[in-house]
Amino acid sequence: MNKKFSADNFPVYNESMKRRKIKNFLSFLKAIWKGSKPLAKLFKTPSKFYIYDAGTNKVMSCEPSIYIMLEKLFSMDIKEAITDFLSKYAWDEFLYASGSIRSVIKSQNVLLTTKVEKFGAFDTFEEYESLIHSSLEILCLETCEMCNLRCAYCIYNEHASSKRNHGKQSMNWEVARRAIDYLKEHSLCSKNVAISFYGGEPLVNFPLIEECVTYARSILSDKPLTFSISTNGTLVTSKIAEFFHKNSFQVLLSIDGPREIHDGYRKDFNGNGSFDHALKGLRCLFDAYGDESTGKIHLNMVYSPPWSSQRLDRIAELWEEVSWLPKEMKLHISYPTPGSILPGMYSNSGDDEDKSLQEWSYEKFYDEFIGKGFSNAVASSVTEPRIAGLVKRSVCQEPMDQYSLNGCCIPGVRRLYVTVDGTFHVCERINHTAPTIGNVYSGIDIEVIRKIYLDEYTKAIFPFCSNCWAVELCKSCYMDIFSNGKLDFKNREHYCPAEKKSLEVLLSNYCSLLEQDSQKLKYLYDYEQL
Amino acid sequence: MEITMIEKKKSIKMMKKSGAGIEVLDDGIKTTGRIRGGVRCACSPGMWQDGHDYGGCGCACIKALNVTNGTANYDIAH
Repeated sequence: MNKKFSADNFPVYNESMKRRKIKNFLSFLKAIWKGSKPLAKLFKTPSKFYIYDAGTNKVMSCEPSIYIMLEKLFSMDIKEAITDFLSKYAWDEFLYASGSIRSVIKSQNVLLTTKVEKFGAFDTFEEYESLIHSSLEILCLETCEMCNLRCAYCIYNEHASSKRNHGKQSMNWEVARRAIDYLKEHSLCSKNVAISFYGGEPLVNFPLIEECVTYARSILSDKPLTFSISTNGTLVTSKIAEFFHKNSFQVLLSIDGPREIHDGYRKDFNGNGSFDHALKGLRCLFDAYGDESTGKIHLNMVYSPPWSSQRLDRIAELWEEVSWLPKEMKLHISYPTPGSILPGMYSNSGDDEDKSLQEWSYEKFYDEFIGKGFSNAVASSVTEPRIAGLVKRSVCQEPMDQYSLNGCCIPGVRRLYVTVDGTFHVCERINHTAPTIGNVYSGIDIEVIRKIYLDEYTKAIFPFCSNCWAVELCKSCYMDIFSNGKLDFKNREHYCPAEKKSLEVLLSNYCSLLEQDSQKLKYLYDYEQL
Repeated sequence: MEITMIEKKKSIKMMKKSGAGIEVLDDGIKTTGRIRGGVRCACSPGMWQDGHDYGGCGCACIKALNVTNGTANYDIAH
């Protein structure tokens, strides 16, 4: 071939050769992409350009010219994209970008357009059914509907529509015993089992918890059994704390921050703040657990409005004001459930309208990561699990032909939520109108799981997810997808763009951290979320 | 349930040469086969993961059950 090479080793092309080169690249892309575009996302850090490939889950860095060319190729007709690129950039840039794209497609199996036809973990329902009958891990018992507090953002308040209202029922022993028997019979293949106690405020029905622990220990002695409880802490006494310690309970106790923040929302029936009582309960727990508190006692925080970085700074000061609170303790902080805040308190209550928690947490985490800041439990609790999700993502060598069912669990396997009357729900967070999946008397309703939670859900998400670059990263699940007992994807129109934007920021943050010190993130391979 | 053999990558490298101007990050958990039974999970915030010998949640959600000769057997996490 009649090529001449310039000083920087690029061949010098005449017009005819250029046309041929362009045509070859066009033909290559047309043959590879077959009229569609790859599921990929371009994103940037302050200093570099990146590509995320959904087919393989690979992340790639690239030169600016390649980023620009891909941006055009993804958004325009291929031929128009190349013409547009050549009208603005030098021929050498085209050669470099097109050569790199072609090379990486061939060598790394990325940027392909493999059509995904199927969502889900397994090919057949029998495989799901086998797990449902043998691998239940967590039984979550709604010990009672009552609560001694009336927090202003409680999902069980009368005005919040997604959950039941505050009630007066308690679970009786017959229902609890049947539920534990169910766990025993359906966890034959589980390595560990756990029973968690939920409410209301579960300690309102403490005698039932004691009975459950004794009974579970007697019939589930063949494998590790753990207990956990989610409590507002106000009813924790020294005696109860000793009971928890003796039975190795993990305790998740709700404290929103220093007194004025906590008491702003977490009040009793008379409108009095609950901070002092909750803190007293927490102290009882630390006294009982002593050196064994690490990994056993955790905080649950709700980040309530008015949202601001100053408010988050103030929340983090809890550790300064409560000197005996371990700085390394794990916590979970989240926004109130949209629509749960008492009317009139604040005009906005949707968590997607505020980004301060994610942004503030990343800034604090980044400063600590590069050695310019101090450890911040609140910031770590937000940023670490998100970054760990990317660190531990599965990277395939060839494009996947089957994507997971969003962030959905397999109903009846990972956990089973049992209400006071013995009804089975997928989990405690799911909309109360979502179809129930059985009860303690007749057992699990396999047909409902098959028909609604697998078949109908899979069919319904296909148009949303089969052409989405975030399909393997998004964490949407059954939680908010039901309305009046039926699948309702209206909120996906709002949820999906927000989730994709959040994931784009997350990818950028992740790569920024890697640019600073890639080895320093290795510990996240072993990260376990609270 | 089918168990897929997966090589667990325990290092994160920023760059690995592949295309001239595109470099694939050497990160994540490398899989050598189709993942079956791996269910990602938008895990319940604040709920009960520490009591389990399984992988973290809100993530790829798979973790080695055991490791033999440098490869890891993966199974369902949750």
